[in-house]
Amino acid sequence: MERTILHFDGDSFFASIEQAMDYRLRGKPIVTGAERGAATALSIEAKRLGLYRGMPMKEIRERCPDIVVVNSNYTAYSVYARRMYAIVRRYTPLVEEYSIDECFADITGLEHAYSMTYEQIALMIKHDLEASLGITFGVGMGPSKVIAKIGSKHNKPAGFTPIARELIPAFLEKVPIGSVWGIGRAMTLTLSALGITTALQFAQKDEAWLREHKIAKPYREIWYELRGGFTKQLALEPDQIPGSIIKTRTFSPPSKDKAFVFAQLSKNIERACAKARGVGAHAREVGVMLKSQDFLYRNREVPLSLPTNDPMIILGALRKVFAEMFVPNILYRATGVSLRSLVHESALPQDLFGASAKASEQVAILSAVDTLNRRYGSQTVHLASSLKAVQHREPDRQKKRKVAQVKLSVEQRKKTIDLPFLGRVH
Amino acid sequence: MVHGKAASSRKPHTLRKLGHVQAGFASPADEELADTITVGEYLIRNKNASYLLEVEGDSMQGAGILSGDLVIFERGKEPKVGDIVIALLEDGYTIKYLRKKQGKLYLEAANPTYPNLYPKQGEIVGVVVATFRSYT
Ligand SMILES: [Mg+2]
Repeated sequence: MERTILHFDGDSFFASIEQAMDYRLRGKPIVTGAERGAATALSIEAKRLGLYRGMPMKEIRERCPDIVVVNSNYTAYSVYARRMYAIVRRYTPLVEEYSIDECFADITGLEHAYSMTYEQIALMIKHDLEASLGITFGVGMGPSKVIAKIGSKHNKPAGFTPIARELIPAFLEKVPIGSVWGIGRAMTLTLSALGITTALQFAQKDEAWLREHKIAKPYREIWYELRGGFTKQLALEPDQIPGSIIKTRTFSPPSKDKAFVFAQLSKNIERACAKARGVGAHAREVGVMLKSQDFLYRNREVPLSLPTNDPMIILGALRKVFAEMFVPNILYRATGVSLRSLVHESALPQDLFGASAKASEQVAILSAVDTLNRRYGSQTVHLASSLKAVQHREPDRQKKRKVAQVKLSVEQRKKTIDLPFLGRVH
Repeated sequence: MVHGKAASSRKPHTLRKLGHVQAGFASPADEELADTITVGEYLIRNKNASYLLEVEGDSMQGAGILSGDLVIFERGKEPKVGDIVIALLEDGYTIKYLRKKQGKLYLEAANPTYPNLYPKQGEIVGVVVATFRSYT
């Protein structure tokens, strides 16, 4: 499935926070960083006076004697930053806290959940941020982080710029190569020596050209994203990844049919894998549980040679183990699976230009499966090995009990609530 | 230059909520049954949009809000008529009831010595969700 990535960037973040916290500063040119002797942030009004970041305070005061210069208040800025991340996280767990005034969010597949277009979802989050914090944000939307970041820079302040795949070239034409995220001064010089001055010129090169000029991997990734691909994963906070994902299900009547019990297990594996894909987690170990009629449990753990969330691979790894665990002629009433030792996909080695074409084909298939199941109900599309379980109708149609559970790692975020103090009220 | 104070960093406040005290002693048994509440979470609904202001003056004394009290307001919350709101007017923040008469919104103090306000400029920035007072 094509990714939809958002990038949020607080406009003149530090200066805007100072203005939000002291109403007397609103609409006025203000500069932060007095303690450093140079401007760390400027309000929009100050930028209009031609002042810039890093400008020495002495020069600023000479040019604009009436300007308000304040000390940086990093405690307040980080309170606002944490609020920004928390607000975005209300809409999707896939949030990268990129910097004190920026974050990325992956909203892929959420149109259905919200019955809204991606544009509407982005604007809803933007509105929530601006209403809650009292400062404006530039928001970019695109198929990758690199493109989303180009969008958020566009049309400042308070802009919203969705860049659909077909619009990318028109945008890149106007973007100097040096202002693409991740391309520093040295690389800008290298590329301009090769005749590349715009992002579009770089994007239009082919793989042979990249090899010929020995373009290093980080820049190949940027090139790939400028062409509309997605490869730079979101770096999620460690506690956004569950410790394990467990899916169990009791069936009735109990069964001694080996194929049927395996189908139940297969179904659980599919559901657990779908959950894992939803949060970008890959398992390094999988546990199997079989429960018999007389409540005898059998458990086995199986290490996986490569971290995965592909049900086919996990089924393959479990087939033999299941055959060993399954005892003929006793009645089973439940199966369960747990995906453990989860790692986030951003932590996996990337193999963009190497072999694994087959793996990426499989990723495409699985994300198509996820889309269909989200849209038409889970188990619309399933593995053939799960068929017997999917077709099985419970005779006594017991209330749909939700036995699925996701264990989140226990580490608690700090429980204090920091409230910015805005002054006096009459 | 004057500007807002640093965000206050408050420690977690978890207090025992005692049963209703009926003009006598709260029995230990009552206390056993009682819940624990976290004061911050009790007072605050949407913590990412909540801010503090300190009350100055007696314009809201009829609503039990006195000078020196702290109020928590929620920014961006849609104000309803009858809510206690925070408005930002030319001369600063004001805390008042939001009222409506003949289709026209205005601000009313909870103190008869204050006139109603029909501001031409300014905006309602949020709705008061809690107030608190320290006696120490
Ligand atoms: Mg910014």
